[in-house]
Amino acid sequence: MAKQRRSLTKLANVPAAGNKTSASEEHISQVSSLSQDAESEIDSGLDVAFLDNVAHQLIAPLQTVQAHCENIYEGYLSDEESKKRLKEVIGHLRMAIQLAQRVRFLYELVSDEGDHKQRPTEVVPFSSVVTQFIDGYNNYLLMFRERGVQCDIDADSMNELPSVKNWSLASQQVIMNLFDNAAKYCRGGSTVRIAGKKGRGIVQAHFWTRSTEIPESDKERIFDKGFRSAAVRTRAAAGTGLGLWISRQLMRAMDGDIFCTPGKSGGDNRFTIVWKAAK
Amino acid sequence: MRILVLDDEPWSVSWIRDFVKPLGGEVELVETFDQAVSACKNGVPDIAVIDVMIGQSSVPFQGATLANAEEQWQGLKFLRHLRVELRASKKTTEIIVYSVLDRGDLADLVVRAYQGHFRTKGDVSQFRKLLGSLLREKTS
Repeated sequence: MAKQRRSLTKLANVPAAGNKTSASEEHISQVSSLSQDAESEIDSGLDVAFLDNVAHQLIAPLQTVQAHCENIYEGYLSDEESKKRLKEVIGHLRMAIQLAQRVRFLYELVSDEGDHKQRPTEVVPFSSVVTQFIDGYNNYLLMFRERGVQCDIDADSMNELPSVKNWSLASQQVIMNLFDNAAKYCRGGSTVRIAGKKGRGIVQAHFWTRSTEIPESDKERIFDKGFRSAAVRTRAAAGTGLGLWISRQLMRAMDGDIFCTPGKSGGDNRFTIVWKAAK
Repeated sequence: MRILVLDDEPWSVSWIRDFVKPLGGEVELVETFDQAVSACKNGVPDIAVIDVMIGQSSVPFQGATLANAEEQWQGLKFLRHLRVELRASKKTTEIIVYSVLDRGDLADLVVRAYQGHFRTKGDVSQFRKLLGSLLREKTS
């Protein structure tokens, strides 16, 4: 069967057209067609912006990897410094691979290829979900340090929590997205705090960040496809508003969720990732 | 030898520090236009390495006039400031402008308006070669 590609903003099923249409159906059909044209225009803008952003975000870590490797190869660094840089190189490559994986997830979400209900989930101790990510992506900690951002991980709060139903690749992607956003938008001198919490039949990871102010009216919209709040659009870092949308799709595919609670003082936001606790 | 690097993704240019250190260079890394301007208060740098596209995600460049581009692109805005500082101080700064965009019109603008060199982010080897040769010229 031929693969059916749907555009980024057209995930809703379009009903098949019938043979006979009433006047009102025709009107609806015309309005729908007009709205689809408008959607297509938004779509192509979103597609192009997404491609531009992905290209930029891939080039940045890969050119950094190349430059570090050339420095090492040409003998600009001591053995000890080389080892340190190689560790960074591994981190940059991991980021690039995760980004490519995000594109893959996006493709699956907009095509009919990925059936997320069939995804392999396994029962793992909750503490390993977050700490595994931190161990592998120490580059984010370096990126935070470059911007004067501290990272405080409350490991004790996670150790006491029950095991969860986890789809590893997806969880890594969701956590990476929050770290990505923190690296882009957190204010210099602020602290990213991460802690775990138990709920009824669920386990949560809270991410507190001090970054851009999210108005109460936008707290759900930031998970819409292509949505970027006005506050974020004025900031330097690039983005297409797809990361949080993909994150929500992935978490829901494993019966979890992700949501945001804007803080009372401007910019103190809490993101919560929810996993279903294993029985 | 003082090298001012303006980039809002400082981790992506950290390799410059390693590269210039054995050649006698010292890097001052700044992320914003304001930080770059205040770095010049201590004197203009010997070499300025500037990312054009800081400050916004993707403002189209096509058909932009110089004044327009300098207003919209923070990297170019800083170059305008640097040009004024250089005239006042009668010193010379070697300028490398780089961007993820690989555009002839942007490269022409950099050469024409700022007498600078243009490199794309994807061409790291050429970027390193240029930086190395400018450093060596400056120190010889």
